[in-house]
Amino acid sequence: MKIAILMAALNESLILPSILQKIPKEMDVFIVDDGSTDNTKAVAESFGARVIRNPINMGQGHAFITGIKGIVNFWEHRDGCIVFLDADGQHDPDEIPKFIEKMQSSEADIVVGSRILGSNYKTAPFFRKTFLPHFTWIINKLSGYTMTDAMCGFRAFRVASLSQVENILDTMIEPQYLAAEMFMRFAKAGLKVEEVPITMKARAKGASYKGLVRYGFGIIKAITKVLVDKSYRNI
Amino acid sequence: MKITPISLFIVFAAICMIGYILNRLKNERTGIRAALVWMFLWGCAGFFSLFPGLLNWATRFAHMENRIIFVLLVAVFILFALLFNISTKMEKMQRNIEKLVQEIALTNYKVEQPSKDQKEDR
Repeated sequence: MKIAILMAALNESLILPSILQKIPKEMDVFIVDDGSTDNTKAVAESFGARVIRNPINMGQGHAFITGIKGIVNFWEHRDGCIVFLDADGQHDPDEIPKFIEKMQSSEADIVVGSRILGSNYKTAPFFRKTFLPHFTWIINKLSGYTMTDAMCGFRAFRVASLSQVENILDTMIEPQYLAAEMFMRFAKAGLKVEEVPITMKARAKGASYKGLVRYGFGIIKAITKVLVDKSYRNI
Repeated sequence: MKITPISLFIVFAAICMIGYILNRLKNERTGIRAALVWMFLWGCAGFFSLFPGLLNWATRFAHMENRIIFVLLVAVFILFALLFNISTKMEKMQRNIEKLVQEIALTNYKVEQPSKDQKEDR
């Protein structure tokens, strides 16, 4: 199975080389440069990555949807899979084979990394440990999936499955809070989800762009909007 | 009609604002819909300052005792309606910007990729 790695990067020129070096050469790397003001694009291209550049910063969720659409439309391997990675070094590229094995053995359309099932979850920050299971519970209730960690950004998707639901990507209302909306819509479209445990590394630099309270409200807002959205009810 | 200095001032301000809005409309710096809404609001302000007795009637009609509170409530209601209208429009604009940025990013990628392949061939 041919693999495409998709990363959304905003001013990550210093960290990108360490991540790109670890990605096996046979994998195609797509980077959505989300309006960086440093030389993220040049650094990524020097490692052979294909760069889709947003002219302005639109947020990680929007960047991922742009990346998926880019891959679905321009990548030559329709039977491959896309693996999402964070460009801040929190996800270990060495764990990519786990996702592929799970996808092939379970015939899943989506494989989600679970930090809760991972070996270092006990050392996770307090707020993550407190609220992550609750957010996941809400998304499970609404989608019908039985995930342990719906908010993890380390995920793999079958390109063929994404091609079938490409029109759903156009209807996404709140791309900043991609996880909630994506799982609700994909569950209605009948996509199968499986999980693999992952270990979460510390962020290489900087802090998360969203605070927990803002993120929580954002998820609730996204869920409410999706529930009243006509296109969601008509899937 | 009861003319006081403050009612004259409000009428003067309303006429100035309506003139300003008309000027903006003439120079195409304001849309017709927004211009009509604001001219109507300023027109109401000028009209009721000249005929405050009508406000007394409206206050009694709304079963309220205080004219000032009635005016404030109506103003708050109008502001909420305008705020809702603006936030809805902003969300729609945000969605359009998101689609546009995505379109630009993918089109640029599509344009750049073949030229890179050609360079590699050379």
